[in-house]
Amino acid sequence: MLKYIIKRLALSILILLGVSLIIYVLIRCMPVDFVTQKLSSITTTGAETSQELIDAMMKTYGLDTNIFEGYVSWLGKLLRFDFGESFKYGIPVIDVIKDHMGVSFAVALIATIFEFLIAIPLGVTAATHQYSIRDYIVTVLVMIGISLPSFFFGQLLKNIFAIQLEWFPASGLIDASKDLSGFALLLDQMWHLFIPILTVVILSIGGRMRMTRTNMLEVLNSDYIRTARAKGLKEKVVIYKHAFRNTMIPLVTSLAGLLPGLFSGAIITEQVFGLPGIGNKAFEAMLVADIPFIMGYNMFLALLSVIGVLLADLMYAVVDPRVKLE
Amino acid sequence: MSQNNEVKATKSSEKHYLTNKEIREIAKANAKVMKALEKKKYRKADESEFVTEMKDNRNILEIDNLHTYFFTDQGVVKAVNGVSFNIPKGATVGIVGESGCGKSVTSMSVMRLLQGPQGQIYSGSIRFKSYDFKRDEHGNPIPVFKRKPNGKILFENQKDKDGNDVIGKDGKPVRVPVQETNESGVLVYEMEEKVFDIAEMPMSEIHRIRGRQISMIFQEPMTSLNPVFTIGDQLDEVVFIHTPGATKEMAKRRSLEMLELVGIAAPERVYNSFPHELSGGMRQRVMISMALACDPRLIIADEPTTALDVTIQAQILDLLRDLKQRIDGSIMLITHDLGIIAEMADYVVVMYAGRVIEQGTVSEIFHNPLHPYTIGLQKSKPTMDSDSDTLFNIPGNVPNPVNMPKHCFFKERCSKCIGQCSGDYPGMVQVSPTHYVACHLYREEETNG
Repeated sequence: MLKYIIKRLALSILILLGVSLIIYVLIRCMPVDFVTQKLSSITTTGAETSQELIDAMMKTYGLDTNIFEGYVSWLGKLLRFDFGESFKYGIPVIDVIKDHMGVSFAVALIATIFEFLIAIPLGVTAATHQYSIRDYIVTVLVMIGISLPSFFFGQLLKNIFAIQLEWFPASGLIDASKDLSGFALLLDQMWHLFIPILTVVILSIGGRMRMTRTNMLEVLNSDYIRTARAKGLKEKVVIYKHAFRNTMIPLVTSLAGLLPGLFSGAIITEQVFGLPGIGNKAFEAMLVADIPFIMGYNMFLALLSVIGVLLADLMYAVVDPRVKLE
Repeated sequence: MSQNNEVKATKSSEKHYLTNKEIREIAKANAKVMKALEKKKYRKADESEFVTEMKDNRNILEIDNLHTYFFTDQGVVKAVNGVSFNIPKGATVGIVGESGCGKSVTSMSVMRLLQGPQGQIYSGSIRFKSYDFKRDEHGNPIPVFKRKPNGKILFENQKDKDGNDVIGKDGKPVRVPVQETNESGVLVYEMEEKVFDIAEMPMSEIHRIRGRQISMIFQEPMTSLNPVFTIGDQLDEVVFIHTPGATKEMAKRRSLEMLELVGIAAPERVYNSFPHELSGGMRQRVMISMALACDPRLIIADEPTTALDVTIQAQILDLLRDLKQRIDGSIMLITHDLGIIAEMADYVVVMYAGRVIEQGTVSEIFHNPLHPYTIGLQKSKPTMDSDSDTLFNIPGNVPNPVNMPKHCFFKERCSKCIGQCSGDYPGMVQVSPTHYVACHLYREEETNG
């Protein structure tokens, strides 16, 4: 087991190297770089720009070298755990991520918990009552959920609950008109996060519910469920012990795969509700080709993904006795 | 309702496709019947509704005119279409027939394991003589207490978990009656024989029969055990659900005992293994031990050896025969292997297209087969002493299960067809006290004797 984990971690380093190369090359190949963006904003104010200024700026931001040299120097810094300073925000990338991760993590974690709490029971009832009215209603509702794009559904909820009914604040995380601290501040923030979380939950239930339903149906039709029934077990025990334990296998492993999703932030939802989350920040940085931030953010996600996949594989061995990690 | 279905069947038998209108009609008729049958399955019923009497007290199971249908989109498939046979106490009854003749569906009907809502017992009765706990008015089993030689109930001090005496309010140790235990330490309750009509039982009551009174061994040992629980967990479970007041130690002891009984050399190791760590033969032994854990009165073995190789097959069959003697139960052995039937069974039921076409003792069926299908079946058995290079086979196919003809289902494939065969389906003809056949060829013998 330990040997397996070490082997996987060594492989992960290779994967991360590949990821970093792809990200760096892609960003450097973008038609517009950070300096051009910045200069164009200066020229619109009417100020003069000179070649010296451009060169100086290129040097400051490390864009004067070719792609290869730039990559090597950036990688060298990375190995010393230095993600560099964000062009756009002017502070170390690590700090930007640290400061804005909290909101995104709160939204994602709460949404994921509710997603699982709602989707799994729905999937189980839909499967145990296959082709009944209950099954059809649940399936149709979650299909609507899957099909709605988040920018549309988020706006819709915002329009109904925040603008028409005025039950919830329309955007942001903090109410500027109030001076709150401590527990009251936390409550107020939760209040602001209600609709964003609701949006994410409704949109994500569908996939999870369908996954549960499909797995449950497959398990319920298997021979060992017939054996469990033939033993004289009550139907409840058959479903919630024998069938559910087997349905859990793919669900638990998919849970580990959610790890990057918990920290990456919901880019579009955060945009819609103006939340100062990491997704929002990454989006803004992307628009101006902020190389250190985009690189740092994507490396962070890549690291989480690699750990997530490793965790998923380890979880497999935990929940399924047939899987042995060698 | 059934009349309606008959009409539709003949109408669509003239062509090979269904129009949209017909499909809708079928779906509508099916939904109506299925809903009624499902409702009946999950109803709350008083015990008097499904307690009945055996026709012959020597039997343990009497299947009487059983109809099990599958309501499919193409129409009603009459998988079991009026099957009647009995299983006497202590006997092994073999059920033979080709694939799809309704052998397994019959056994599934007995266990009420049909996949609803499509699969349903449409009519008929399955009378089973069960040996169940006698229950008081609250539905709790009545314990049997230990008695002193003079007939008085034996009392002892009540112990708590640590083995100390429980002291009552009056300061004296609390005295409780001692419940009788059997040799393996299981608490004894008062028992009684009761005849249930399984076909009429609601699903909420079926656990009184399943696993405890009738247990089943399935065809596929490789997939019939739950992969995520250990053998021990799965075996203990059977003891827990059917033995009131069973403790963990008691269940484990019983499970190990069962594993040993089925000839597993290292029961402790197997007890702690997962199913995937065992071979097919071992898994089938575990399945058998599971089936035996509660001393069932009837074991249904649905092709228990089909998935195993020949040497293991022989071992498993020996084991079954040996165990039957030990637990003094009956076996309903479903197979398409005539060799197994000849070796194991006392009585044979031959099924074809959802009906019993011949039944009798094993020697009657093997030495004096009467129905042309049984004769064909015997002939298609490979033998060492035959000169022929090719194996005999019965020509043709089983008729379409949705549109069964009115006449004998075997008519198109029969080599001894007579004029009468185009008439109604032949009734059962008794040719000896135990030998019955459903064929027009033997109608005269019935009138003569």
